[in-house]
Amino acid sequence: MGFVPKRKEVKKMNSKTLLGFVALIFVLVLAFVILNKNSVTREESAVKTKTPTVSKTTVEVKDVGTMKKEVSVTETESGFEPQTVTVKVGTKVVWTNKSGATGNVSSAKHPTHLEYPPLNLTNYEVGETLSLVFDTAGTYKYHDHLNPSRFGTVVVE
Amino acid sequence: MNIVKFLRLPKNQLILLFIFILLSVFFRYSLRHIPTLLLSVGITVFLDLVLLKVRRIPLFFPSAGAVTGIIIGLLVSPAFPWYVVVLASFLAVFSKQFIRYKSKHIFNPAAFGIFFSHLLFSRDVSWWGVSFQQLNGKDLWSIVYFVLLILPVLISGLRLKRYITMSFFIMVYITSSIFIGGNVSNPIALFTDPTFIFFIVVMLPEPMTTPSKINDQVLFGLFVGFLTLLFSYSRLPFIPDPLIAALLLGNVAYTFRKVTFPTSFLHKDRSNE
Repeated sequence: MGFVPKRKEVKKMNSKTLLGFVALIFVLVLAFVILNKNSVTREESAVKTKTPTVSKTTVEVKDVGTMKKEVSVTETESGFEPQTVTVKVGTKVVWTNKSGATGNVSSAKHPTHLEYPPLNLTNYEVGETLSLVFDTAGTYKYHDHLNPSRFGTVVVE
Repeated sequence: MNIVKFLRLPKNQLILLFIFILLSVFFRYSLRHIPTLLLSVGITVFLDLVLLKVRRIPLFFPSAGAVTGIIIGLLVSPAFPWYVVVLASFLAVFSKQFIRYKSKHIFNPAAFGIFFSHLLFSRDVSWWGVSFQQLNGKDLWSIVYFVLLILPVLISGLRLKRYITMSFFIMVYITSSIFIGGNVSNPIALFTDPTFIFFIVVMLPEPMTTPSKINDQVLFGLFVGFLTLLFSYSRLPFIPDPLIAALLLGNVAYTFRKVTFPTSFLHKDRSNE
Protein backbone atom coordinates (compact mmCIF):
# COMPACT_ATOMS: atom_id res chain seq x y z
CA MET A 1 0.00 0.00 0.00
CA GLY A 2 1.46 3.35 -1.00
CA PHE A 3 2.10 6.30 1.27
CA VAL A 4 -0.98 8.49 1.61
CA PRO A 5 -0.26 11.86 3.23
CA LYS A 6 -2.59 12.91 5.99
CA ARG A 7 -4.98 15.84 5.40
CA LYS A 8 -2.94 18.11 7.71
CA GLU A 9 0.28 17.29 5.86
CA VAL A 10 -1.38 18.03 2.51
CA LYS A 11 -2.55 21.41 3.85
CA LYS A 12 0.94 22.15 5.13
CA MET A 13 2.45 21.18 1.80
CA ASN A 14 -0.04 23.36 -0.07
CA SER A 15 0.76 26.32 2.17
CA LYS A 16 4.46 25.81 1.64
CA THR A 17 3.97 25.54 -2.11
CA LEU A 18 1.92 28.72 -2.20
CA LEU A 19 4.42 30.57 -0.04
CA GLY A 20 7.17 29.37 -2.35
CA PHE A 21 5.12 30.59 -5.31
CA VAL A 22 4.74 34.05 -3.76
CA ALA A 23 8.47 34.15 -3.00
CA LEU A 24 9.23 33.11 -6.59
CA ILE A 25 7.03 35.91 -7.97
CA PHE A 26 8.83 38.34 -5.71
CA VAL A 27 12.25 37.17 -6.91
CA LEU A 28 11.13 37.38 -10.55
CA VAL A 29 9.83 40.94 -10.11
CA LEU A 30 13.04 41.90 -8.34
CA ALA A 31 15.13 40.38 -11.13
CA PHE A 32 13.05 42.16 -13.77
CA VAL A 33 13.47 45.45 -11.97
CA ILE A 34 17.23 45.02 -11.55
CA LEU A 35 17.59 44.11 -15.22
CA ASN A 36 15.62 47.21 -16.15
CA LYS A 37 17.71 49.43 -13.91
CA ASN A 38 20.33 49.83 -16.62
CA SER A 39 17.78 51.00 -19.15
CA VAL A 40 16.45 53.56 -16.66
CA THR A 41 19.98 54.86 -16.11
CA ARG A 42 20.40 55.19 -19.86
CA GLU A 43 17.10 57.10 -20.11
CA GLU A 44 18.25 59.42 -17.37
CA SER A 45 21.51 60.10 -19.18
CA ALA A 46 19.58 60.93 -22.31
CA VAL A 47 17.41 63.39 -20.43
CA LYS A 48 20.44 64.98 -18.80
CA THR A 49 22.04 65.62 -22.17
CA LYS A 50 18.97 67.59 -23.19
CA THR A 51 19.44 69.91 -20.23
CA PRO A 52 21.27 73.09 -21.21
CA THR A 53 24.91 73.05 -20.26
CA VAL A 54 25.52 74.88 -17.03
CA SER A 55 27.61 77.90 -17.65
CA LYS A 56 28.44 80.79 -15.42
CA THR A 57 28.67 83.05 -18.46
CA THR A 58 25.00 82.50 -19.35
CA VAL A 59 23.79 84.17 -16.17
CA GLU A 60 21.82 87.28 -16.87
CA VAL A 61 23.04 90.01 -14.54
CA LYS A 62 21.24 93.30 -14.28
CA ASP A 63 22.35 96.37 -12.41
CA VAL A 64 19.51 97.55 -10.27
CA GLY A 65 20.34 100.86 -8.64
CA THR A 66 23.93 101.55 -7.76
CA MET A 67 24.97 98.60 -5.59
CA LYS A 68 22.56 95.69 -5.84
CA LYS A 69 22.49 93.22 -8.67
CA GLU A 70 19.82 90.88 -9.88
CA VAL A 71 20.20 87.48 -11.47
CA SER A 72 17.39 85.66 -13.26
CA VAL A 73 16.72 81.96 -13.24
CA THR A 74 13.91 80.43 -15.26
CA GLU A 75 12.08 77.30 -14.27
CA THR A 76 11.05 75.37 -17.36
CA GLU A 77 9.62 71.92 -17.91
CA SER A 78 13.15 70.52 -18.19
CA GLY A 79 14.45 72.22 -15.04
CA PHE A 80 16.05 75.41 -13.80
CA GLU A 81 18.00 77.42 -16.38
CA PRO A 82 20.79 78.11 -15.75
CA GLN A 83 21.12 75.25 -13.33
CA THR A 84 23.98 76.92 -11.47
CA VAL A 85 24.44 80.64 -10.95
CA THR A 86 27.44 82.25 -9.32
CA VAL A 87 26.74 85.64 -7.79
CA LYS A 88 28.27 88.22 -5.46
CA VAL A 89 27.11 88.67 -1.88
CA GLY A 90 24.01 90.88 -1.76
CA THR A 91 22.69 89.75 -5.13
CA LYS A 92 19.00 89.17 -5.59
CA VAL A 93 18.17 85.96 -7.45
CA VAL A 94 14.80 86.01 -9.21
CA TRP A 95 13.09 82.79 -10.32
CA THR A 96 10.46 82.98 -13.05
CA ASN A 97 8.05 80.14 -13.63
CA LYS A 98 7.85 79.20 -17.30
CA SER A 99 7.28 75.50 -16.67
CA GLY A 100 3.66 75.48 -17.77
CA ALA A 101 2.43 74.41 -14.33
CA THR A 102 2.73 75.36 -10.68
CA GLY A 103 6.39 75.50 -9.69
CA ASN A 104 8.25 75.68 -6.42
CA VAL A 105 11.61 76.76 -5.03
CA SER A 106 12.73 74.99 -1.86
CA SER A 107 16.03 74.52 -0.12
CA ALA A 108 17.85 71.16 -0.25
CA LYS A 109 17.46 68.44 0.85
CA HIS A 110 14.23 67.11 -0.51
CA PRO A 111 11.78 66.82 1.20
CA THR A 112 12.84 68.36 4.51
CA HIS A 113 14.24 71.62 3.11
CA LEU A 114 16.34 72.27 6.19
CA GLU A 115 19.73 73.20 4.71
CA TYR A 116 18.83 76.87 4.22
CA PRO A 117 15.22 77.58 5.28
CA PRO A 118 15.14 81.18 3.89
CA LEU A 119 15.31 79.56 0.47
CA ASN A 120 11.95 77.86 1.04
CA LEU A 121 10.04 80.23 -1.21
CA THR A 122 6.94 78.00 -1.64
CA ASN A 123 4.83 77.57 -4.77
CA TYR A 124 4.43 80.00 -7.67
CA GLU A 125 2.18 79.92 -10.67
CA VAL A 126 3.07 80.26 -14.34
CA GLY A 127 4.38 83.74 -15.06
CA GLU A 128 4.94 84.57 -11.38
CA THR A 129 8.34 85.24 -9.84
CA LEU A 130 10.03 84.51 -6.53
CA SER A 131 13.17 86.18 -5.27
CA LEU A 132 15.72 86.07 -2.51
CA VAL A 133 18.70 88.27 -1.66
CA PHE A 134 21.76 86.21 -0.71
CA ASP A 135 23.66 88.06 2.02
CA THR A 136 26.14 85.37 2.99
CA ALA A 137 28.77 83.59 0.90
CA GLY A 138 28.20 79.90 0.39
CA THR A 139 26.72 77.26 -1.86
CA TYR A 140 22.95 77.00 -1.74
CA LYS A 141 21.22 74.04 -3.33
CA TYR A 142 17.54 74.10 -4.13
CA HIS A 143 14.89 72.15 -6.02
CA ASP A 144 11.25 72.22 -7.04
CA HIS A 145 9.49 70.33 -4.27
CA LEU A 146 6.65 69.42 -6.64
CA ASN A 147 9.15 68.06 -9.21
CA PRO A 148 12.31 67.15 -7.28
CA SER A 149 14.15 66.14 -10.45
CA ARG A 150 14.37 69.89 -11.15
CA PHE A 151 17.19 71.30 -9.03
CA GLY A 152 19.74 74.06 -9.06
CA THR A 153 22.51 75.75 -7.14
CA VAL A 154 23.29 79.33 -6.20
CA VAL A 155 26.97 79.92 -5.44
CA VAL A 156 27.47 83.15 -3.52
CA GLU A 157 31.03 84.54 -3.48
CA MET B 1 -21.02 44.17 5.08
CA ASN B 2 -22.45 46.63 7.56
CA ILE B 3 -20.96 49.99 6.61
CA VAL B 4 -21.17 51.33 10.18
CA LYS B 5 -19.28 48.31 11.48
CA PHE B 6 -16.75 48.67 8.66
CA LEU B 7 -16.11 52.30 9.53
CA ARG B 8 -15.51 51.59 13.19
CA LEU B 9 -12.01 50.37 12.43
CA PRO B 10 -9.33 53.09 12.37
CA LYS B 11 -7.81 51.65 9.17
CA ASN B 12 -11.13 51.95 7.37
CA GLN B 13 -11.67 55.46 8.70
CA LEU B 14 -8.24 56.32 7.36
CA ILE B 15 -9.18 54.94 3.95
CA LEU B 16 -12.26 57.16 3.96
CA LEU B 17 -10.12 60.22 4.73
CA PHE B 18 -7.63 59.14 2.06
CA ILE B 19 -10.47 59.14 -0.45
CA PHE B 20 -10.94 62.86 0.25
CA ILE B 21 -7.22 63.45 -0.22
CA LEU B 22 -7.29 61.47 -3.45
CA LEU B 23 -10.23 63.50 -4.71
CA SER B 24 -8.27 66.69 -4.04
CA VAL B 25 -5.25 65.18 -5.85
CA PHE B 26 -7.33 64.32 -8.92
CA PHE B 27 -9.00 67.73 -8.82
CA ARG B 28 -5.59 69.39 -8.66
CA TYR B 29 -3.68 67.21 -11.14
CA SER B 30 -6.47 65.79 -13.33
CA LEU B 31 -7.15 62.08 -13.62
CA ARG B 32 -3.97 61.11 -15.45
CA HIS B 33 -2.34 59.79 -12.27
CA ILE B 34 -5.12 57.31 -11.50
CA PRO B 35 -3.26 54.35 -13.10
CA THR B 36 -0.32 54.77 -10.70
CA LEU B 37 -2.62 54.71 -7.70
CA LEU B 38 -4.69 51.83 -9.03
CA LEU B 39 -1.51 49.85 -9.65
CA SER B 40 -0.11 50.32 -6.15
CA VAL B 41 -3.43 49.71 -4.38
CA GLY B 42 -4.25 46.78 -6.65
CA ILE B 43 -0.96 45.03 -5.96
CA THR B 44 -0.96 45.51 -2.19
CA VAL B 45 -4.61 44.45 -1.83
CA PHE B 46 -4.17 41.47 -4.16
CA LEU B 47 -1.05 40.21 -2.40
CA ASP B 48 -2.68 40.61 1.00
CA LEU B 49 -5.65 38.55 -0.23
CA VAL B 50 -3.32 35.87 -1.62
CA LEU B 51 -1.50 35.63 1.68
CA LEU B 52 -4.78 35.40 3.60
CA LYS B 53 -5.69 32.48 1.37
CA VAL B 54 -2.26 30.90 1.85
CA ARG B 55 -2.60 31.12 5.59
CA ARG B 56 -6.15 29.80 5.43
CA ILE B 57 -7.54 32.86 7.14
CA PRO B 58 -11.14 33.73 6.20
CA LEU B 59 -11.04 36.43 3.55
CA PHE B 60 -11.77 40.01 4.54
CA PHE B 61 -11.08 43.33 2.88
CA PRO B 62 -7.36 44.03 3.51
CA SER B 63 -7.69 47.62 4.67
CA ALA B 64 -4.06 47.78 5.78
CA GLY B 65 -2.96 46.73 2.30
CA ALA B 66 -5.17 49.40 0.76
CA VAL B 67 -3.71 52.07 3.08
CA THR B 68 -0.19 50.96 2.13
CA GLY B 69 -1.06 51.07 -1.56
CA ILE B 70 -2.56 54.55 -1.34
CA ILE B 71 0.51 55.88 0.49
CA ILE B 72 2.81 54.38 -2.15
CA GLY B 73 0.67 55.86 -4.91
CA LEU B 74 0.83 59.30 -3.32
CA LEU B 75 4.59 59.27 -2.80
CA VAL B 76 6.08 57.51 -5.83
CA SER B 77 6.29 59.87 -8.77
CA PRO B 78 3.89 58.96 -11.60
CA ALA B 79 6.69 60.08 -13.94
CA PHE B 80 8.77 57.06 -12.91
CA PRO B 81 8.55 53.80 -14.87
CA TRP B 82 5.59 51.66 -13.79
CA TYR B 83 7.81 48.95 -12.36
CA VAL B 84 9.11 51.30 -9.65
CA VAL B 85 5.56 51.42 -8.26
CA VAL B 86 5.25 47.66 -8.68
CA LEU B 87 8.51 47.04 -6.85
CA ALA B 88 7.60 49.47 -4.04
CA SER B 89 4.27 47.67 -3.58
CA PHE B 90 5.87 44.20 -3.62
CA LEU B 91 8.56 45.23 -1.16
CA ALA B 92 5.95 46.77 1.14
CA VAL B 93 3.92 43.55 1.31
CA PHE B 94 7.09 41.46 1.53
CA SER B 95 8.35 43.44 4.53
CA LYS B 96 4.97 43.19 6.26
CA GLN B 97 4.63 39.46 5.75
CA PHE B 98 8.19 38.19 5.94
CA ILE B 99 10.34 40.64 7.93
CA ARG B 100 8.83 40.01 11.32
CA TYR B 101 9.84 39.78 14.93
CA LYS B 102 7.66 38.18 17.58
CA SER B 103 4.82 37.79 15.11
CA LYS B 104 4.71 41.50 14.22
CA HIS B 105 6.19 43.25 11.25
CA ILE B 106 9.15 45.48 12.00
CA PHE B 107 8.90 48.18 9.35
CA ASN B 108 6.23 50.57 8.22
CA PRO B 109 5.36 48.64 5.03
CA ALA B 110 4.85 51.64 2.73
CA ALA B 111 8.02 53.32 4.01
CA PHE B 112 10.04 50.12 3.46
CA GLY B 113 8.76 49.59 -0.08
CA ILE B 114 9.24 53.20 -1.11
CA PHE B 115 12.69 53.52 0.44
CA PHE B 116 14.27 50.42 -1.04
CA SER B 117 12.70 50.76 -4.48
CA HIS B 118 14.04 54.32 -4.68
CA LEU B 119 17.42 53.31 -3.28
CA LEU B 120 17.72 50.72 -6.03
CA PHE B 121 17.08 53.33 -8.72
CA SER B 122 18.94 56.18 -6.95
CA ARG B 123 15.89 58.41 -7.01
CA ASP B 124 14.49 60.91 -4.53
CA VAL B 125 11.05 60.16 -3.19
CA SER B 126 8.67 62.55 -4.92
CA TRP B 127 5.81 62.95 -2.38
CA TRP B 128 3.94 64.36 -5.40
CA GLY B 129 0.44 63.73 -4.06
CA VAL B 130 1.10 65.39 -0.72
CA SER B 131 3.22 68.37 -1.69
CA PHE B 132 0.84 70.79 -3.39
CA GLN B 133 -1.42 71.49 -0.39
CA GLN B 134 0.54 74.55 0.73
CA LEU B 135 -1.53 77.15 2.53
CA ASN B 136 -1.99 80.24 0.45
CA GLY B 137 -4.03 83.15 1.74
CA LYS B 138 -4.98 84.13 -1.81
CA ASP B 139 -6.51 80.80 -2.71
CA LEU B 140 -9.51 79.30 -0.89
CA TRP B 141 -8.86 75.89 -2.45
CA SER B 142 -5.44 75.73 -0.80
CA ILE B 143 -7.20 75.88 2.57
CA VAL B 144 -9.59 73.09 1.56
CA TYR B 145 -6.69 70.93 0.33
CA PHE B 146 -4.76 71.58 3.53
CA VAL B 147 -7.69 70.70 5.79
CA LEU B 148 -8.25 67.44 3.90
CA LEU B 149 -4.55 66.61 4.23
CA ILE B 150 -4.47 67.17 7.97
CA LEU B 151 -7.70 65.25 8.75
CA PRO B 152 -5.97 61.87 9.34
CA VAL B 153 -4.69 63.37 12.59
CA LEU B 154 -8.16 62.56 13.95
CA ILE B 155 -7.29 58.88 13.58
CA SER B 156 -3.56 58.77 14.29
CA GLY B 157 -3.38 61.50 16.91
CA LEU B 158 -6.67 61.22 18.74
CA ARG B 159 -8.04 57.72 18.08
CA LEU B 160 -4.71 55.84 18.13
CA LYS B 161 -3.23 58.31 20.63
CA ARG B 162 0.13 58.74 18.93
CA TYR B 163 0.12 62.49 19.59
CA ILE B 164 3.10 62.25 21.96
CA THR B 165 5.33 60.83 19.22
CA MET B 166 4.03 63.44 16.81
CA SER B 167 4.57 66.31 19.27
CA PHE B 168 8.14 65.35 20.11
CA PHE B 169 9.04 64.86 16.48
CA ILE B 170 7.62 68.32 15.65
CA MET B 171 9.47 69.85 18.58
CA VAL B 172 12.85 68.50 17.43
CA TYR B 173 12.22 69.33 13.78
CA ILE B 174 10.97 72.88 14.22
CA THR B 175 13.45 73.80 16.96
CA SER B 176 16.36 72.62 14.87
CA SER B 177 15.08 74.46 11.83
CA ILE B 178 15.22 77.67 13.79
CA PHE B 179 18.40 77.17 15.78
CA ILE B 180 20.51 75.02 13.45
CA GLY B 181 19.04 76.05 10.11
CA GLY B 182 19.41 79.72 10.89
CA ASN B 183 17.01 82.51 10.22
CA VAL B 184 13.65 81.05 9.24
CA SER B 185 12.03 83.55 6.94
CA ASN B 186 8.63 81.93 7.07
CA PRO B 187 8.18 79.55 10.01
CA ILE B 188 4.49 79.04 9.27
CA ALA B 189 5.34 77.73 5.79
CA LEU B 190 7.86 75.35 7.35
CA PHE B 191 5.37 74.14 9.93
CA THR B 192 2.55 73.74 7.41
CA ASP B 193 4.64 72.08 4.72
CA PRO B 194 2.27 69.42 3.33
CA THR B 195 4.92 66.72 3.08
CA PHE B 196 5.91 67.33 6.68
CA ILE B 197 2.23 67.21 7.72
CA PHE B 198 1.52 63.97 5.85
CA PHE B 199 4.58 62.32 7.32
CA ILE B 200 3.56 63.32 10.84
CA VAL B 201 -0.12 62.46 10.69
CA VAL B 202 0.05 59.32 8.54
CA MET B 203 3.48 57.70 8.30
CA LEU B 204 5.15 58.43 11.61
CA PRO B 205 2.34 57.04 13.81
CA GLU B 206 1.68 53.74 11.98
CA PRO B 207 0.22 51.75 14.89
CA MET B 208 1.85 48.34 14.41
CA THR B 209 5.44 49.54 14.17
CA THR B 210 5.44 52.42 16.64
CA PRO B 211 5.04 52.55 20.42
CA SER B 212 1.85 53.35 22.27
CA LYS B 213 3.30 53.79 25.77
CA ILE B 214 4.00 57.41 26.63
CA ASN B 215 7.69 57.01 27.49
CA ASP B 216 8.30 54.97 24.39
CA GLN B 217 6.45 57.52 22.28
CA VAL B 218 8.67 60.32 23.62
CA LEU B 219 11.82 58.41 22.77
CA PHE B 220 10.52 57.32 19.39
CA GLY B 221 9.57 60.89 18.40
CA LEU B 222 12.95 62.24 19.52
CA PHE B 223 14.85 59.40 17.86
CA VAL B 224 13.17 59.79 14.47
CA GLY B 225 13.41 63.58 14.75
CA PHE B 226 17.15 63.59 15.42
CA LEU B 227 17.81 61.03 12.69
CA THR B 228 15.84 63.15 10.23
CA LEU B 229 18.09 66.09 11.09
CA LEU B 230 21.18 63.95 10.75
CA PHE B 231 20.15 62.77 7.29
CA SER B 232 19.02 66.26 6.23
CA TYR B 233 22.13 68.16 7.23
CA SER B 234 24.92 65.64 6.76
CA ARG B 235 26.74 64.81 3.54
CA LEU B 236 26.10 61.11 3.68
CA PRO B 237 26.02 58.87 0.60
CA PHE B 238 22.74 58.92 -1.32
CA ILE B 239 19.65 58.40 0.81
CA PRO B 240 16.34 58.49 -1.08
CA ASP B 241 14.57 60.34 1.68
CA PRO B 242 15.68 61.56 5.13
CA LEU B 243 12.22 61.30 6.68
CA ILE B 244 11.60 57.74 5.53
CA ALA B 245 15.15 56.60 6.35
CA ALA B 246 14.77 57.98 9.88
CA LEU B 247 11.38 56.32 10.29
CA LEU B 248 12.69 52.90 9.22
CA LEU B 249 15.60 53.12 11.64
CA GLY B 250 13.12 54.22 14.30
CA ASN B 251 11.07 51.08 13.57
CA VAL B 252 14.17 48.92 14.05
CA ALA B 253 15.17 50.76 17.22
CA TYR B 254 11.67 50.31 18.64
CA THR B 255 11.45 46.62 17.77
CA PHE B 256 14.81 45.89 19.35
CA ARG B 257 14.48 48.53 22.05
CA LYS B 258 15.90 46.34 24.78
CA VAL B 259 19.20 46.57 22.90
CA THR B 260 18.81 50.09 21.49
CA PHE B 261 17.60 51.83 24.62
CA PRO B 262 18.67 49.66 27.54
CA THR B 263 16.77 51.63 30.14
CA SER B 264 14.48 49.94 32.59
CA PHE B 265 11.26 51.79 31.77
CA LEU B 266 11.42 50.71 28.16
CA HIS B 267 11.49 47.03 28.95
CA LYS B 268 7.85 46.39 28.47
CA ASP B 269 6.16 43.58 26.67
CA ARG B 270 5.02 44.74 23.25
CA SER B 271 2.35 42.06 23.13
CA ASN B 272 0.28 44.09 25.60
CA GLU B 273 0.00 46.96 23.17
